[in-house]
Amino acid sequence: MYTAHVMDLGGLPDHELMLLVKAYRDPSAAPGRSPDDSEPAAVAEAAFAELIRRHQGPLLNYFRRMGAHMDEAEDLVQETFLRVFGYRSRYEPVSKFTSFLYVLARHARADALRRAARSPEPRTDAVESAQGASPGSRGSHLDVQAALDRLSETLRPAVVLSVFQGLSYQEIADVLGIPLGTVKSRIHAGMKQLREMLDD
Amino acid sequence: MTEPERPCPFEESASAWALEALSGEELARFEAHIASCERCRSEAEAMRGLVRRMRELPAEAPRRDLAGAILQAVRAGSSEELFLDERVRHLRSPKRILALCIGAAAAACLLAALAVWRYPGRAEREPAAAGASPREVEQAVRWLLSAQEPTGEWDAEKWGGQENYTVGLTGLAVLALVGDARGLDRPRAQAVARAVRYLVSRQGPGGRIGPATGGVLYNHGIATVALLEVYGATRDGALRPVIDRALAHMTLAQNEAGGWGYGVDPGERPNTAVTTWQVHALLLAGSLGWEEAGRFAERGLAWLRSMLDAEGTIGYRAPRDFPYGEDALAAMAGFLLLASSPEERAAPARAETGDAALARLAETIRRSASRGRGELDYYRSYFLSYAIHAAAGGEAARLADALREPILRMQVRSGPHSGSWEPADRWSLAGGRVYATAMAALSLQADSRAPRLIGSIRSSRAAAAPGLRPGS
Repeated sequence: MYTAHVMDLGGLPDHELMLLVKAYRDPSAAPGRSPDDSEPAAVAEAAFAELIRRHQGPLLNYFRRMGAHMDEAEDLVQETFLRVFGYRSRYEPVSKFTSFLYVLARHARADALRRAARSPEPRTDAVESAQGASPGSRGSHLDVQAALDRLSETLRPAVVLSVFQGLSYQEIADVLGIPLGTVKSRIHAGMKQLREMLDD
Repeated sequence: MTEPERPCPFEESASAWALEALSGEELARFEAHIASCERCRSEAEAMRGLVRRMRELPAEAPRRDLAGAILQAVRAGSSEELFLDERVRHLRSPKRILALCIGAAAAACLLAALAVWRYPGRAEREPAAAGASPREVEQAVRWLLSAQEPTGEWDAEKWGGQENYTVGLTGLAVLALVGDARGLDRPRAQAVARAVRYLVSRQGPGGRIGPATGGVLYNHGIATVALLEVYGATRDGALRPVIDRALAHMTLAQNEAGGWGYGVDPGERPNTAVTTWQVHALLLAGSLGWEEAGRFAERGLAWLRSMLDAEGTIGYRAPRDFPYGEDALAAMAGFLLLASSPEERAAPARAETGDAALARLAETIRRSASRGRGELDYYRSYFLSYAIHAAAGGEAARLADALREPILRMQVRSGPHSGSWEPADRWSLAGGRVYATAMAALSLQADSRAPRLIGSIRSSRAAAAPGLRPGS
């Protein structure tokens, strides 16, 4: 049975997978459970694993474009999915799963930044990134990333979510909790700044 | 001399066009425009080139499949532990105000914004509304200023309340100091800035303001309303991310039925008192530009509406559930339900043809208010003082007088607590003197504050999609 469920899951859309995750009840936490209880839990885990596999790559790239180095980005992907699981009961399929995912990703990153601000350790990747940001070395990939790193925290999330993650403006408004018009102007302002930096 | 180039109204559409983010109609309009506007055409082409160049950045993949590690952590229960650990670390750290640099930065410019907002002098203030009690409110403000801790909070325990309500009481004190939002003198502006800094410092990683246990959503809801009121008066953009996070926590804590309980456990049964504060915050947020908040407010209003019975009373956890009496419940939910409905729907003349239950709710509120001298209850008085502005139409002024009189009698006139209110009602064991004083001062400011709040609520609902309005 479990295998059959797992085989079916790959064809399910995100929100249906998330509803299976939402239905998860820890079998070990329910005294007097029936032996069948472990099956829904296994299906929920399989659904969650499918969601992770679908979104871990795009999410990793989101954190990388937002300036995290590889280790940090992988940690943040894990942290975000743990939050998805922790908040599963609050998921409502009224908006896209990616909106839910990126809200939690944004929170995970904000918390990480807060913790990093408490830590005296320098972020070597950030230092390298800043060094690579010197104008004049046009054409390299580092240029684009370095220019992104120079965007403000106000503009960068909207630009990254649109250009790299492919979210619609409305989804970005949902994720960032800002009006649609603000999304439009932030993205345009961010793109203009990037052009100026890259055209220098 | 050449004229400076005026920005084209289509300018921002250039990047949306390059990102293929324009809707069908917008796309047609923009493409018709660039057929004749060389500047926008060239801007759009440049943006398309930029998008292409950016997307050439190679996509990366995790160095291993992360699903296994995440599932292992879930099985070990560490996803729930993660949040708990965060909360505990957050609460125990002695340097948390410094550590929360984002929050501190958010509050850093606030004093400047408040300084701009405050009136330069008393002479320029508008005259107080008829029936208002400016002297008593001023005395209350002076006591509140004297009772504030240097770190910005009003310490619940120190003034006879329960320690876990310090955040909520600080929110109430801020609301009382902000008052009718027409301006602040310097001491009040400084006190509000300190209090906001304190509230921001009590925001946890998930956006919750206040402790993780003990009236969680009371604290969170009131603190969020207070931050929104300050934001509404100052438009300080630094508060936006703080409020973003607070609203995110609030919406995540909303029960499936649309209400809120004391805590964030999804199994928690919603109640009218806690739900009222969250809906108030979301409606206020909706009026201040948080468009998504409106959707959650609508669900909250629908839940409150589900507590209304045909007799015009509101239940606490279910219709006709009145563990603490009927009056306060009808007033707290009634204020929001009536303020968020077009006035004529609840008019007495429409009891048969309009919304009969809502009209009866308005009648319940008018009856409660006209009784005036009931048992002392600052919480009930506060909500009634506001609800009559939504429920009583032309009778509001007369009923406001009836409500004001018993409150005025309880103000302390001399001694160390002069200006405060005696913590003598049934909720004072939890809220103490800060609660009593803030609620009484807010009640006395209802004549000027309530119309503003009702205006905000109506503008918030007007911005909501019509299809989402329950019962309207």
